[in-house]
Amino acid sequence: MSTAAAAQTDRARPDGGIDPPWFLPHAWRFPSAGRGTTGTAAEQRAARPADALTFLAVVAAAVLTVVLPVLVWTGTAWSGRPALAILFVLAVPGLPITVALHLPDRRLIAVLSPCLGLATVMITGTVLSTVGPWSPAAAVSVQAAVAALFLPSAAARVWRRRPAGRQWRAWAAALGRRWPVAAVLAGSSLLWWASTRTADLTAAGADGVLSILPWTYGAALVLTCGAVALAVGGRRIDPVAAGLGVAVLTVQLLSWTSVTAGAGGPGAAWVHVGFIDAIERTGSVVLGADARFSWPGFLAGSAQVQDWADLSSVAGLLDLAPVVFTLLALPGLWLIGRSITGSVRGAWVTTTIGLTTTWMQQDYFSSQAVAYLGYIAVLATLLVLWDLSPRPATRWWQAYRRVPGRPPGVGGGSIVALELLLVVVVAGMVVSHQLTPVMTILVLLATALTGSSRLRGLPVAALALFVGWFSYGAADYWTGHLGTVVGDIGQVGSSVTAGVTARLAGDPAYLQWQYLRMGWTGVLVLTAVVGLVLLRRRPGALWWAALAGAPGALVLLQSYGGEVVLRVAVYGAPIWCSLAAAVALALARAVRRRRPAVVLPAAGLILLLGVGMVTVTRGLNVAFERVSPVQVTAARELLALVPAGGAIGWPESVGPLPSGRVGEVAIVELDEFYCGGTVLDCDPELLPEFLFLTAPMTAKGVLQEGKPADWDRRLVDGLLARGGWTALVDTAEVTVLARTGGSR
Amino acid sequence: MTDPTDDAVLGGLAPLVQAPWGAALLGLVLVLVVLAAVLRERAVGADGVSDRAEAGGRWTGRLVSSLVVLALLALAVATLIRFATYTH
Repeated sequence: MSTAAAAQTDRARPDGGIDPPWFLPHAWRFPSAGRGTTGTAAEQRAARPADALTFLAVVAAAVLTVVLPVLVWTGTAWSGRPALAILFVLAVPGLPITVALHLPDRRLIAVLSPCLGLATVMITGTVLSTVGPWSPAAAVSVQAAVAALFLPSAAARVWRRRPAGRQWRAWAAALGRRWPVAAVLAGSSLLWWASTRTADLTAAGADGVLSILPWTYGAALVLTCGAVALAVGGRRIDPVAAGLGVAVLTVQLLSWTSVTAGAGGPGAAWVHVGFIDAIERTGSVVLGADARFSWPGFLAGSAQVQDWADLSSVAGLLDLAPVVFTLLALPGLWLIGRSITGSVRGAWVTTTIGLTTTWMQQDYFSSQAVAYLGYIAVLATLLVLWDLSPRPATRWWQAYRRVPGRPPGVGGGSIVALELLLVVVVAGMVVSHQLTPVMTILVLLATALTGSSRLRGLPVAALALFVGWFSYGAADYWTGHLGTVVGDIGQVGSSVTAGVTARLAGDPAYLQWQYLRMGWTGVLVLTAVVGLVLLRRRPGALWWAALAGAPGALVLLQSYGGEVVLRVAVYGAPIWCSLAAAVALALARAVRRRRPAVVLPAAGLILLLGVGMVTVTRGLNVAFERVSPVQVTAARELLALVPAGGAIGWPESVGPLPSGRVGEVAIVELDEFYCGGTVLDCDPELLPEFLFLTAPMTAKGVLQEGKPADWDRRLVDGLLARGGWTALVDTAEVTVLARTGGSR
Repeated sequence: MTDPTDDAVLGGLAPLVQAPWGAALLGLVLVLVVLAAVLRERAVGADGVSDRAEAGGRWTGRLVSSLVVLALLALAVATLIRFATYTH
């Protein structure tokens, strides 16, 4: 075994103990450890805060395993059911399984547990919505039953390591000593909240949020970035403060628009709300309505959760979806960063860089956001195994034949079980999303070809699952137009054109900010390349290079509706951010040698620049992506008004209109392809019975399509002047027109 | 593309590539993958170097690996037949 490998395997726990979770230090022990009142002395000496958290989590999972199925089966109405349902998905059955198994690094519990729960709910949802019979109550029972199988083993494991009473108090006291950080973050949160109350999103234009951000938002970011920089960049890392700071930063960056607007978005998330409503209402997927029904895992799983939560719609989950999905992804990103940079500080830097790349906004309420969690989990698990396992020396051209060893103290059965868990996670993403499984297979192939994983059956299982689902489950998607589906393969030029060039159009000021987005991503890629050069002598360099480059292969395979370049950046981000973190650490070390006092302020300023950049780039489209409660109410009332078989026209496909009655009411986009020109040029017989127009649609036409600023007024006035139309609603935010005479 | 019902070969193959057969094939691949993983853990040492497999175990491993490849190929062929059959 090489020296580097030996040094890395030092992090393993041969005693099989429970390591602290990702945000707590290894060495942080209870002051009173060994003098507890419960358990044997040896067990008490081993107790750590992580044991307490795991203990509490398993107790909570046990309660959820019993309570939610009872509430669902008895139909008990209770306001706490939505929260219980979400916690159930994140903890059951993932937590009992991952605690019961002897994972090589206990931090993987935080990564794999939610992914397993999400995968289970997506798989049961897929089976029940496609094969039937639809029964959310049966699904919750199955999920609880699986958890019940593992709960005794998990309970026994955490019971052996339960902390004593005084240890709980010591832990609380240690947390209490962080009050200065807590005070700074509380002040930051208050300023941030004030900024959401005073900002006016309707005033946003080509500059996005930049022109409407109040000073309080900037002040909040200064405080939060300062707290994070101090916690991560200080002589000793404070993981509790860093974890709190990163969590607060995540909320502030990713939920500002939805909290300010009073409703979540973007429009694509509302389409999912409508699809989920259709499955919950009919108990089956609406084949032929949309290609996304061919990958129904997320939609059907969410429909089950809607039933478990006793909600009439999942629309309320949209507001905080980006925050929740990102917080769930961060532990995995932390592990990826730690593995590649080889340090805990590098792991924290990776998570902060990861936050600054979220302008791509692929974390909204969608199947790709859930599938992305699985992708991160697979990457993190492979990298953790790589870190902890002995690796036989080999030449690079013979690497594909190498089988790494097992982490010390981990048996063969645990490795097979871990492989099975990952197969379940991959199965969940295969039935939910079209592109993420392809990316996962590419990553697994890169891993196999470089001999970097012992889990050699995983790529085979992933490939079989993908081919099997595409061939049999998604037949409705490709039947009749397979030529179109496979026509993109090898069309690199058209994919890049559709993903980059075609998007650079519209208002000149808006265009400048689009260039900034691309430039920001370009800087990340270039920094990652430098990081790869810096780390070229590390044992995993070849593998990391393959992982960093693998997303580029997607461009060879398909255009993904013109979004493939964006997706390349999304899937590449975890590795690119880790490599960029290695560069940041190298720079910090170089500066520290000459001017040590500069490092911390510089780190804080760079972090502030990064979060400022992501604020601007992420909020660039706010003028047409914002959704307001007025829009939501108008859309709901209009959908309720339209008779079955009716249709509603909208000139731009943004907003909450498609949030219900899928399969009953058609939503027609009145674009150039439909009308042969503007809506006023449309054949009157082609126009639907209703027209729905919002202020964000106006902004989209102006900013992205170069329409005149008053194109919406011209449209409304033109139709009203033509006759046969009446205005049901006509406000600055929403306009609804209805035909008054004859059929179309 | 011609209607598959007009094509004797495709029309004859279509019943063989329906969902139940596909599910069975996929299930077979997954079972074999798990079996291969169990055999691998029995055969390859914890250090990734030592080979603990006796002759019989080694042949079992090779047999299962070959079956995995065959089952994957069968799945791929079934997919191609489905593409040819249903793309019209």
